[in-house]
Amino acid sequence: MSRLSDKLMIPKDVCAGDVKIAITGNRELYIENYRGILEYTDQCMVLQTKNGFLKIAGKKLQIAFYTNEDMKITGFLNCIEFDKEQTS
Amino acid sequence: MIRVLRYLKGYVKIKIWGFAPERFLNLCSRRNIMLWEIQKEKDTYLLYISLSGFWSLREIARKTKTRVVILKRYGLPFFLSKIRERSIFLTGALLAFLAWFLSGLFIWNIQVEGNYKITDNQIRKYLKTQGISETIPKNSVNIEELEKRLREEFPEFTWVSVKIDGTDLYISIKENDLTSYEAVEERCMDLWAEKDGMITSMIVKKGVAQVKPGDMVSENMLLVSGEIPVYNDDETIRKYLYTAAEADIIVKRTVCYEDKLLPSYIRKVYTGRTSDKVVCHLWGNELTLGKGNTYRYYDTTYENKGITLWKGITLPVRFGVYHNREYYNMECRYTLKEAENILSKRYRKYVENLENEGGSIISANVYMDSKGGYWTYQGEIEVEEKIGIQIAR
Repeated sequence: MSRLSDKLMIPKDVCAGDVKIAITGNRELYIENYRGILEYTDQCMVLQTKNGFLKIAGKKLQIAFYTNEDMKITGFLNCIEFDKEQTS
Repeated sequence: MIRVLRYLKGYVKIKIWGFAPERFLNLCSRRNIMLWEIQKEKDTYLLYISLSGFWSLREIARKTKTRVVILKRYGLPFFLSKIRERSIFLTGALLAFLAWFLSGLFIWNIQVEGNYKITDNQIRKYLKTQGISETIPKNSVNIEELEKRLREEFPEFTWVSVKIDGTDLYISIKENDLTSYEAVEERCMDLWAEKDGMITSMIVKKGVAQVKPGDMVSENMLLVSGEIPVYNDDETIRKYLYTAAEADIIVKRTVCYEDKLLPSYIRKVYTGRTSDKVVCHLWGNELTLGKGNTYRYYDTTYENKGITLWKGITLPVRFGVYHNREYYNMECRYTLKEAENILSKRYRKYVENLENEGGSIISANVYMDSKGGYWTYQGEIEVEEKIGIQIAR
């Protein structure tokens, strides 16, 4: 599927349902294509995506808005990690 | 824009806690319930949710075994329900707004500026005859027509501007000082002497001179004639041209200066007692609030306190305070030094006036004396001054 979308030059978030992330500095994170929140504290947030898990670590993490399609996280971001299995 | 929409629809700040608050958030997003500003505080989550979304939370809370508490309510629906409980306040606010709106349809204050020769009272009287006064509706004032009429009524006005700003009617005026001269220039006028003296210099600008430098002139003597003869070739007069005679004529003369001062005077001694009288001006009528005073002699100063809500929005009600200071009269006598000070001051003022009118002092012999129960300042002053007044034929 990944190869086919490469050949056809179709964006992977459309074709494979990959998570799409936009970061502004270390203060803002805009996420699309997720399935839900698995864990949320002010220092760590784990989101479920179609192809795995997305772990965001930082300080004073807040969700500026949360809808079915997109969300925006604010705070002091330290690290973004992709996992196939949930580690924490 | 989003904030406005949120406010109009209403929203609440809630606190959630329990078995699976994350699942609670996920279920909300699945059901298209907008959540924002989610933050974790200890074991609870604080978040904002729309009012419509809040009504469908019951099932989600039951499923996720979470508890929901409202912390604060925001938005128009809550404001309206609060207002409904205070119907008297709402009625009062509406009535106040209505009164304010209605009062804004009238003129409550007329201000005239830029007039020097024509007094405010003259203008106001004329405005009254035209049906324009305080308390008339704003739309009954035809600004252009009023400007035109004012210019017609007062020829001294070269420029009139009328404008309505809020509830104030402003009339700005520019007067022309030359109007009167231009008007009389066509007429025949002679220049006459109003004082005695010997002419030291003479420059005739218009007209035919009847005297020359070195001549002695007396009061009511013709100096320059406004009738200019036009001669034929045989030196007979063909006709006369008429003009307003004009000339700079300087005469030298001796003035007897005498100034008297009574040795005693009445001095106001303030007792220190004061009283204020508050008055209310309502549509031009003065109503006294409280008691007046019982002083026999007192000075009064008046302080006006108009109520201006906004720039240009003046209410028809004005307050004023009369400040009264009691005094009694005490008869005092001038000392020699005081009398001399006063008299010499007056003398200096006299000299200043003389110089302002174009005169100058050549010599002066003035001294102080006491005569007939008065302090006097007398003597002779030799002055050079301009003479000549225009009188129409």
